[in-house]
Amino acid sequence: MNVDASRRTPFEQHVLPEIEVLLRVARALTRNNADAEDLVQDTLIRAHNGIDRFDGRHPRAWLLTILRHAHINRHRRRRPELLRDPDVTFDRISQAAGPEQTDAFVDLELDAELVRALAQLSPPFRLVVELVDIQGLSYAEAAEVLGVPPGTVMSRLHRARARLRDRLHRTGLAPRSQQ
Amino acid sequence: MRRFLRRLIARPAEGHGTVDCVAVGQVLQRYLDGATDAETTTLVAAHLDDCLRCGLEADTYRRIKAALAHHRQPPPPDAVQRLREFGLQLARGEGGPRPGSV
Repeated sequence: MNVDASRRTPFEQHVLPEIEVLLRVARALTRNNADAEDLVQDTLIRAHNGIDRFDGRHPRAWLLTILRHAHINRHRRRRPELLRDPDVTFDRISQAAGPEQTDAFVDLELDAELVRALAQLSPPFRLVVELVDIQGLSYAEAAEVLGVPPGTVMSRLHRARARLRDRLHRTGLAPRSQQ
Repeated sequence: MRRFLRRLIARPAEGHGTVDCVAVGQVLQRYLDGATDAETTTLVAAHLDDCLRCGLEADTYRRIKAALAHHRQPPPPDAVQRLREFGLQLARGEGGPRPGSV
């Protein structure tokens, strides 16, 4: 693909580099690879239709907002009863990337307990952990995906992590910080 | 954040009493996420060096974050490729097939 950068369209410049991030976030939202791909495709079409109105700043945030709207529309169309329950599965976490055997820094026992603890969090809390701590979005980017203020992302995330921490305390996998 | 700073500065190094620890606890996760300003970051880092209780708390959160980040996976390369091609077709004004429609 020898397209001179100066000849690339705004869509190519701003949108195409974000496809991987969009797909990771879409997987978190849809819990399914095929649905995630369809969702990103919808997002690309919407972005293409709206590229003339995009000012070129913060393309990822712009695209994540589009993705959220596309997801809501798809969800409403297909499963209206679940519109308020953006569940996220963490089943795949136990299968995912299997902890690298060479990674001495990841405590397998702690990891397994975290997977169990995540599964017990309510969906809004699990989703924010998935977006920020697993997918690596910033508070602001996660806020775009969820359609809530960054402060809400922060408070949900901090409460979710505190619950994970409490679980590790109870199971003896982390020392209690009592004086 | 300003109120937090005032609380820390008002009670410097007083044996890491409750005020310091409570104030640090309020910003600890933001600190670990790199979301605190420079002044707060310096104060919290100094406190964590000295306070066993808060240091353990910070270590626990660091382990949680590290374990979760370990689950980050790149998306399937074939899906990325299909979507890139689809995006290029859009950019060139071509309709293009629906990617992943198998």
